[in-house]
Amino acid sequence: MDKNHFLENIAQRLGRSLGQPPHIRKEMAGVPEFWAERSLTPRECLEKWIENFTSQGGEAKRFDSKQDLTESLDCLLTELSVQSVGAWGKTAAWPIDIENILDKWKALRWDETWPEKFSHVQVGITGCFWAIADTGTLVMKSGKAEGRGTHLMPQVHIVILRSRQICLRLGEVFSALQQEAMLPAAVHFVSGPSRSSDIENDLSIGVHGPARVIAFILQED
Amino acid sequence: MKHANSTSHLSVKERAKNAVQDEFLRNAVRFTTDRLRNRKQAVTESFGQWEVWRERGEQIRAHTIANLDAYLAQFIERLEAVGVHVHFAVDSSEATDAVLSIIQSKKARKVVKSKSMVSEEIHINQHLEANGITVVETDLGEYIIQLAKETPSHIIIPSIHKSREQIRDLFENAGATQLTTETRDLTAFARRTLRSEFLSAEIGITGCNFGIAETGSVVLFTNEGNADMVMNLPPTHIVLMGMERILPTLADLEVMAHLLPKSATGQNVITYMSMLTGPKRSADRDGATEMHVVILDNGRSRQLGDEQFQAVLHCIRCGACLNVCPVYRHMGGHAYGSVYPGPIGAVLSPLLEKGEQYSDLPYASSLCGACFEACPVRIPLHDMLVQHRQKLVASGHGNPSERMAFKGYENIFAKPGRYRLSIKMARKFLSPLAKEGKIRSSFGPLAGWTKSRDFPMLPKQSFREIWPSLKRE
Ligand code: SF4
Repeated sequence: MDKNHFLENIAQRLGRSLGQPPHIRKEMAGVPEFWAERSLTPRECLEKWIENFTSQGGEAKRFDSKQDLTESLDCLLTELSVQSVGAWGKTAAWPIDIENILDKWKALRWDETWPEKFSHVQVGITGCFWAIADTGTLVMKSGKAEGRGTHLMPQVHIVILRSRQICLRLGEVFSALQQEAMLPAAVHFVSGPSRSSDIENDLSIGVHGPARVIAFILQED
Repeated sequence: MKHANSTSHLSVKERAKNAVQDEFLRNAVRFTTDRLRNRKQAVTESFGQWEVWRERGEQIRAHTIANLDAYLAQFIERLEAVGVHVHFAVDSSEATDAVLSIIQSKKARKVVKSKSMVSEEIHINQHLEANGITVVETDLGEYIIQLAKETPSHIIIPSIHKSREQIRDLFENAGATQLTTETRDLTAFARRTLRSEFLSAEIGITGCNFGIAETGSVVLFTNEGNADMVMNLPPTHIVLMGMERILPTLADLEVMAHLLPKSATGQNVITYMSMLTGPKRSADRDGATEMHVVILDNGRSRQLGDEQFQAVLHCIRCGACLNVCPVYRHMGGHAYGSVYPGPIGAVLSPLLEKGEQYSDLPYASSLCGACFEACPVRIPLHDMLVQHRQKLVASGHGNPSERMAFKGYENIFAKPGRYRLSIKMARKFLSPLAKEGKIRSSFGPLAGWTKSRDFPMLPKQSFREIWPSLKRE
């Protein structure tokens, strides 16, 4: 069927004519006012993010200095006895420079290899663009060096962020996205490890996406 | 129990009998629905001001549907601006034809799918398989029931009726060896197997939870992340969406991003919310290079302008009404014999499919009103069920001899004692809600019950058969 007939039929049944703008909405767009009007300090946002993220099965580690963070990252990779590491490309929007660690672990870089390779990567290391305190969420945008496969395909996802990247609510991220010239092809809002309860209601983790999501947070005041 | 496809010719009564005989199913349904309902209650309580959110949800959906032509037109314009191919389907055969011709133009042999009610509605799998195309369901629950050659029994947890031993056996038939019945092992097998399917499929098919008019974005909610694989890995991505799945703005999505997971599974947030705006950009190294959106009417537009039923299009497919429905809780999803089970299915199925096929579904309800109380966008499902019954009788559905047979029940139902009993039972089912002080508002719907009582045709035998067993619960 063609577009005009399809839309024409809808308009006509609604007693409208095609091309007529929608009726004006008064206060019913978006979240209730009380929700939009809340505000938290950056410290409170950080606490809330960690609380929510960990309650959804995510893990969070916070650090006061960049050096502590990179050392601890190195330790974790050693502990996990990782065979293969993948990461965002060098030109990606890294919140913190961790190139020395990525070099040391010979990380496959997203923009220097084939995406299929990431299917066999054990640990994917990325930054993120924002985080959302209300729901313990990480916001990932697709881009040349920030492929979707870096955080979706590996068994473990390690994400690096600065505490200032944490907003209170989802709406703030939407506003920021809409200020960009063009929305990225994909925006993923990730709130913990991949989960399912399809087997007798028993929680199963990592059925498709990562089975562990670990956040390394640089705490700034 | 047999699967719904082979039983859809049976009456609700016969299907209900099948389902009720299956002890495992009944226990599983009750367990899951309790669990989902309790978690929902906990999460909405700690979230706070739930009624304010519900009202906002209702306003957004009502406004969108009342202006659907304008928002849909805007959505389509934005989709086309970012390079998406848009297709329009009046009914399911146009939709399946559109999908098939895309697949054939790519000479593709394998399709991976994530869970979508619309694809169930148009029976896309059977259609594609008949044309020699392999379709792999990738949602864990859907994968399980696909291996079992069955259809979903719950909107949110489709494999609710399968035991872990049954799942192990299915996986072993699919090539697993020496599998235990541990969730961990079963999950690992599914991950391995499905990952190679994602990487080898040429086409990915997903549904669409919301289409955002102002941006032309397709938004998907999953907990497993399988929809992300489906849309990112194969070179061609086909989105199947009901034409009513629109929201005007991202600000409205913020409301739904709270209402949907909290109502569906009692989760504060969905694990993966993914927002796609067109196919991959030239610099991107993953994501589908070609994106198609198939927009389906299939009886939906008939509800527009219908004072009684337009609101059925507000539904966001959360499944909360199933979890609180005493009839669903008792007999599970397959007994409905329709793609959409539970109260929403009892209202929607006869609307989408004209004729007699689902005309007994509106009787598979106790009209207790719990569905309305649970609905995050406040759809008055119980009123609609009553109106359905009235409409069906007025249009002469149900043959005269059958109607004579129901004369007897009219007397029973007309007796004040029987009616009081029904209220007593409704009160019993609603007792968890009553503790929350909501019981009074649940009584509004019972006014609808009185109205239907005066009507010439009374609940069919199927409902009467279900009712005595419900009393024992
Ligand atoms: S009718 Fe309401 S409660 Fe039922 S699935 Fe739709 S939105 Fe959810």
